[in-house]
Amino acid sequence: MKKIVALCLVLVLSLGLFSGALAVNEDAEGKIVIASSMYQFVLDEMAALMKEEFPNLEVEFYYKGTTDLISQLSGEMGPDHSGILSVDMLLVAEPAYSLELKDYGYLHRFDVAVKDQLAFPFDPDGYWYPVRVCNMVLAYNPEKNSADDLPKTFREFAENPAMKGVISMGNPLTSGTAFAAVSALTEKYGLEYLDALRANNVMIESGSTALGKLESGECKEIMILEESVLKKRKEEGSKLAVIYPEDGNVMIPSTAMIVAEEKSANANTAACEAVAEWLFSEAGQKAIVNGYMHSVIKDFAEIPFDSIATEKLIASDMGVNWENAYRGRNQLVDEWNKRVNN
Amino acid sequence: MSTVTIRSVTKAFGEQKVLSEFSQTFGDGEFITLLGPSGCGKTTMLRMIAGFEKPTSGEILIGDQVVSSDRVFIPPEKRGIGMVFQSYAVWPHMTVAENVAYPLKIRKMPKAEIAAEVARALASVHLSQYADRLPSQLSGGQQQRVALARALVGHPKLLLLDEPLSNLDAKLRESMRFEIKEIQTQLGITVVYVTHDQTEAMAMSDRIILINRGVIQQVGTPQEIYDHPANPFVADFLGKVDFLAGEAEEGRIRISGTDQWIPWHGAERGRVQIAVRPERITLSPDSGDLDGTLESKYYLGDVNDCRVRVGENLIRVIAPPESFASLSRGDSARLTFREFMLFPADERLEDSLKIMT
Amino acid sequence: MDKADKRSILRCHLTLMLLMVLGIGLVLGGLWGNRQYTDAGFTQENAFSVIQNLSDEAGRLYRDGLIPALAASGADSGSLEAASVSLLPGVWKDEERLLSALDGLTGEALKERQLRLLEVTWAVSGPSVKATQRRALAALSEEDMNRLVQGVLAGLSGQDVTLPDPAGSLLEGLDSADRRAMLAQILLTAVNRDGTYITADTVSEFKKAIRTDGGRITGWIWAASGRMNLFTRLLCSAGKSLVLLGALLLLDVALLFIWLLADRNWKLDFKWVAILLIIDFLLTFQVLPMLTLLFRSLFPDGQFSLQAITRLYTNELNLGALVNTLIAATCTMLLGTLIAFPLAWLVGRTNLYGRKLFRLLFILSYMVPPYVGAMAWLRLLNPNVGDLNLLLRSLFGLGDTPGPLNVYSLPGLIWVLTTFYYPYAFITISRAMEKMDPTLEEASRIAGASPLTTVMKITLPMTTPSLIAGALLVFISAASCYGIPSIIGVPGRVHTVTTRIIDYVGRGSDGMNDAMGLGLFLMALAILILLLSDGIVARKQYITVSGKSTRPNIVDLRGWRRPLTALVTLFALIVIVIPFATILVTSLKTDLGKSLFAPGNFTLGQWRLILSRAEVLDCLKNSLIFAAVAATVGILIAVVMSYMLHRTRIRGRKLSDFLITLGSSTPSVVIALSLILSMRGDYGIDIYQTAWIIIIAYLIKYLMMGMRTVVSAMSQIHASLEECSQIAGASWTRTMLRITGPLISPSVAAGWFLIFIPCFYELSMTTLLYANGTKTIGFELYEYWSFTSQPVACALAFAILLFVVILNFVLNRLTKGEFSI
Repeated sequence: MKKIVALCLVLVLSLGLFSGALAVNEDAEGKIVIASSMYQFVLDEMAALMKEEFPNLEVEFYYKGTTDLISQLSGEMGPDHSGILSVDMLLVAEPAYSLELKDYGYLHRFDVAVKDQLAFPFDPDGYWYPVRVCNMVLAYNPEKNSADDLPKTFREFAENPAMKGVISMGNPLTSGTAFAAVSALTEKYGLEYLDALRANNVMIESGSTALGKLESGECKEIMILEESVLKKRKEEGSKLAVIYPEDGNVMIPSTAMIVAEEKSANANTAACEAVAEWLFSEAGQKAIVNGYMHSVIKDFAEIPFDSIATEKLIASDMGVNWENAYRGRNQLVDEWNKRVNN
Repeated sequence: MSTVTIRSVTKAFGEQKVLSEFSQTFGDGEFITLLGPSGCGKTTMLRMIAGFEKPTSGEILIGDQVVSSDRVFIPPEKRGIGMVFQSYAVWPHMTVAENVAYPLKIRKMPKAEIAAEVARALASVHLSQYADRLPSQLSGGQQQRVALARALVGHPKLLLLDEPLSNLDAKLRESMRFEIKEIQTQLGITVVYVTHDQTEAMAMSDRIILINRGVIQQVGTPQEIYDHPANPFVADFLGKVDFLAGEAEEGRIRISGTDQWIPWHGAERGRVQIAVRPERITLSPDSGDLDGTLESKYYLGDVNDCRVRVGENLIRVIAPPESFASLSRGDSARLTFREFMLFPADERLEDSLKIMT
Repeated sequence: MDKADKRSILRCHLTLMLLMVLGIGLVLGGLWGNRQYTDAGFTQENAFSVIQNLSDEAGRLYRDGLIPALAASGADSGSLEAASVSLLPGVWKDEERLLSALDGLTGEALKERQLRLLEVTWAVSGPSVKATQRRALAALSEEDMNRLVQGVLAGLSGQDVTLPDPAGSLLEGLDSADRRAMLAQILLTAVNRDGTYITADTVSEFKKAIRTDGGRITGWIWAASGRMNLFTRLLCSAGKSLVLLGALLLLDVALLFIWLLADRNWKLDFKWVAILLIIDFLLTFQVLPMLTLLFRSLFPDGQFSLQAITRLYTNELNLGALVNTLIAATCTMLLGTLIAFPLAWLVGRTNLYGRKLFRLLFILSYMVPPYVGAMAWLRLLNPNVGDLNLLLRSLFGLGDTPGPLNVYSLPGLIWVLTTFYYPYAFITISRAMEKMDPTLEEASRIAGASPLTTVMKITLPMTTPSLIAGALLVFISAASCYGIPSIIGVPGRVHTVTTRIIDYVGRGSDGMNDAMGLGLFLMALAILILLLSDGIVARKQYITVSGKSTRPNIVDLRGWRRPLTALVTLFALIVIVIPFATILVTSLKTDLGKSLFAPGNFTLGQWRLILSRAEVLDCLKNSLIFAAVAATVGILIAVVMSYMLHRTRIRGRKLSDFLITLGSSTPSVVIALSLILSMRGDYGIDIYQTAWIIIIAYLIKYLMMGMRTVVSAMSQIHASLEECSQIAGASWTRTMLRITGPLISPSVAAGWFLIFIPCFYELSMTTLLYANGTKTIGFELYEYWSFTSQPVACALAFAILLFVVILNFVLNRLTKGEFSI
């Protein structure tokens, strides 16, 4: 009798509780801590979804800005890279950082079912996979300037003397995405690109500040992540708009990593793997798209609010060479400091 | 040349009246003391003369010049006054010589002249050898003399002193008194001196202005005030005094609390206040107007300070030192008032005697 | 010397002796306990691989040993239990110690212990039975279970059986080796019918335990063997903490001995305890982390190397940053003092109109985070569309070119730094002026000097010590500031040491050492400044404090009254009103580019958001608590310290004072990093990611704010007041509480507030130290500014300002006007 009941239960559960959702995963148990630099509201949404998906798993989301998170983790690792981290999963930063953590032996190998459908490169050894994609583009204020008068390419952005003193971008020393963009741009245009930026007196600051300067008219065009603009448009009804650069946008995937068991906070890699699968599932990717980022799955149906088709962006992607970005990091930083930062 | 004329000056801080109608003239070269208990307004008056406070009403003239009135106000630095403060106010970051030279430097006197004047000033206060010392290396009395030299170096027409000796010990106070008085006499400068110490006032002043709670009680020479106090407060403040209540009749006054009397030839009748100075009472074992008992005696070397009980009254008597040996406690003693003063029997005596704090 | 004295001396000596023995005991015990950890070889990887090997071994034995044994025995569950259990000694026998864990146990206890060990081994490293399946197995009836066991045994013996679900599904897809292992797991689960299933949490805990604290597992094993008692377990698990405690105790004893000897007064008073506690606190949470930092920077990889330091300090960008920092700090110091002195004089000593209002306005900038001001100046002085620039352009007909003023420059940086740090000098100088004997100035006036000459020749020289103290405070604050240079300097490529440190921190693990290396510069600077100020100020200490509470003479400005008031008003407008108004206005706009009065642009939405969002309120609660705790503990320390400085001649007091001052001049980032490094258990203390690490960081950084007020208040109370109390028989504590306390309470309240405010809106340290439950309002503000929405950030900033002003007002009223910054 009990068996029949048990079987029935299993049947009901496997029908799934919500549309298109996978069967509730009761086997993921215990506790894990996920650190991410995604917007808090995205994390909140994911937390709610995960609670239903993994009823026996206690997931704690820990939000921290990328730079701060990286420095906190550095502190936890210690100068000899042996310390134990306070997290189990990381959804932060771009592949260069994953390579670094992999080198230090802090990552856990895992597989995801959708591996073959990923539109972006992933670690062949299985230590990291891109789980969301940010997009570096240009932005302007249509209420103050017309798009026709402004540069349509990254190249012109830096080289057109008319843009002197009215352009802004993120700080590659403190922002991983800005660094990735600079890496891609210097690969494409050489280090002279940096000289051009300098000649145009580019201002270096956070995205939010730069958006403010677009509004006030202090800047005419800025290099910024698409998601920041889209968010502002949706939540504040702002008129600031994106210019998709004709010489290519820079797609910057952000990875999902699982911390090696002996270095993680809760030693629960089994649950982490289950969560990772979910993140790459439709539900998980949908949450990401709701956060104004693009999905990493090929031909994913949803796109962020007001954006353009992910395939188009991938097609025009300038591309970042992650190995170079990681190993040539110090050199690029030096060049940046020498040419732009003085 | 350097008279001070004060016309109808009052001072109030908001609601609180600190000084009532004050009208006085200080003559050229006079040594005037503003005397009174703490908080009576004497310092305020001094500061108004100096220019650190503005009168609420009235005017002040130094010499012929109006320094303070409704329309005119001359700031302190332009009044040509010298002032010595209770805390000496000697600047610690300058040497003695620099301190004294300061007023002259302000006037942009040539260096040689300054040096000469400074030397003269220091000599007058006997501090020549300390010219290059810092104030922190001097004693209180020496610092005060520096302050004095500094106040006088510019040959001011008027010298103000705000309780300058209260921070010094008794012996020093006495010698400084003489020094100040000497300098004043030599220079012939007008001095306005503020103190609560009546001995100082008596010793140094040409005239004393006694103030209590912002009201002038009496103005006069030390002798006048001492011998003929205008009211019980003055009598009590200056010198020692015994107060006795009495009933005046034809030819005599009965002492309250006893059934004895003293001879009286004045016109007053009825209840009166007798004020008698202890040193004006003759103490004798056998003869005298009043009959009493010696309760206590204190030998002070130069006098014998006694307390004699007459009826319900305990009377203080300053007797010659020889009497100490001759009379013992408990002995019968007879007193004669050589001189005394009479005041209306005023319950408000206690009031006016209350010192404002 | 009478008997009572002799006895108390003896008692004192005995106590010291006892404490020393205790200290040595703790150190030795802790070292021993820690050794077990390393001796046993249970380091992180080691433990894990040992368990791994054991389970492999167990698996092999199960496969190759159990099966034939079972076949031979004729399987039934009872004998299976016995058989499997009998394998255990074989499994663990290679490990002497583990075997000894079972020593002495017999019968049921032994069986139970063995099963536990095996169970855990399997659970940790074997294939796992998922939760659902576990529950399904538990739901089986007795007879179903027996049938299952039979089936499992058959399967284990090589027979081909299909087991009913859930067991059947568990075996799906497993190769033969894993299949057997899984069968064994099912077996174990079935055998363990009393429901002691190991949960995922237990597995987690076990894994964490064996890797972070090998001592604990040793303790567990020993306890299992009945060998270990509470005492030895404590020694092993708390080894490091005990060593730390013991070391501190020994140090305390040594210090106590030296002091009592120097004092020749062998009496143990509570004041010694208080002083020692403070020193211990500073040593543990400030000196130790700093030294760790220093050590790791200079000895990367264990070898002394100046290579990193040389590389850092010859880097062109860094050198430029050093120069910028020095120039900026010096100019800010000079400009700030130049502004502060006349303002303090005008507001404190003259009859300027509106003095009270000005006084409040001038200390307003102290009450908000510095980068709030940077935000405002950005808006006002950016060369393209800055409001003030636009105004100037139209006033002077300068056309449309950018400028004339550019805030993204070194002068711009200096300007904003000055507007935010001059209050430090203003407050210090004001206080000194108030306390100065007014007759010193009056004597100058009578001597013929105009008020201005008096200020120059008398007031200025007299207040020089405070002037210098205030100036140096401005210098070091400007040099350690991060918020303003990051917003104003970096966009214009003007780097300072603090922004460079963050650049390196942002680089990740590589950059950490570099960041700390640069931090050394600021620490060296701080030490230099400290020595300087102590030297200069100490020498020129004039006793200018008047005993009487005389009202300072108010200088009548007469003809100058109106023009000077106008000038000061202009200054206040430019430096205070306009920036704060800008923030307020921005908080009410939706679109930054449009005017407030453009249609649809005015909104209270931002304000509503910050007042209603649960997160903001949470952060507010945290900020209040952390700041209040830090302020309270801090002011207690300050009181004890100031007592030490003024009433005793203890040799060590200057050192603690130095440490406290050093703490305040250390860049926040450095403090936070050093705490992260050292407070995760390396020295036996693990407060990482708790509220305590944040509070301690605040304390170290801001303790000094409260010290100055309390110290100067204490110095003004004549010792005789306390001596009176002591002669009357009151103990030290009572005297402090009843006599000194009330006398200095206004200063204590002021000092409390001075610590509270910067803690309340602190940012840099919180960013690195916060955990999910310990976010603060300063951090929230920074988040909004950098990542979300600037108008909301402005609303929050202004709200913080209002809050602090109201708090100041309330405190002022409560202490009847005595309290004011």
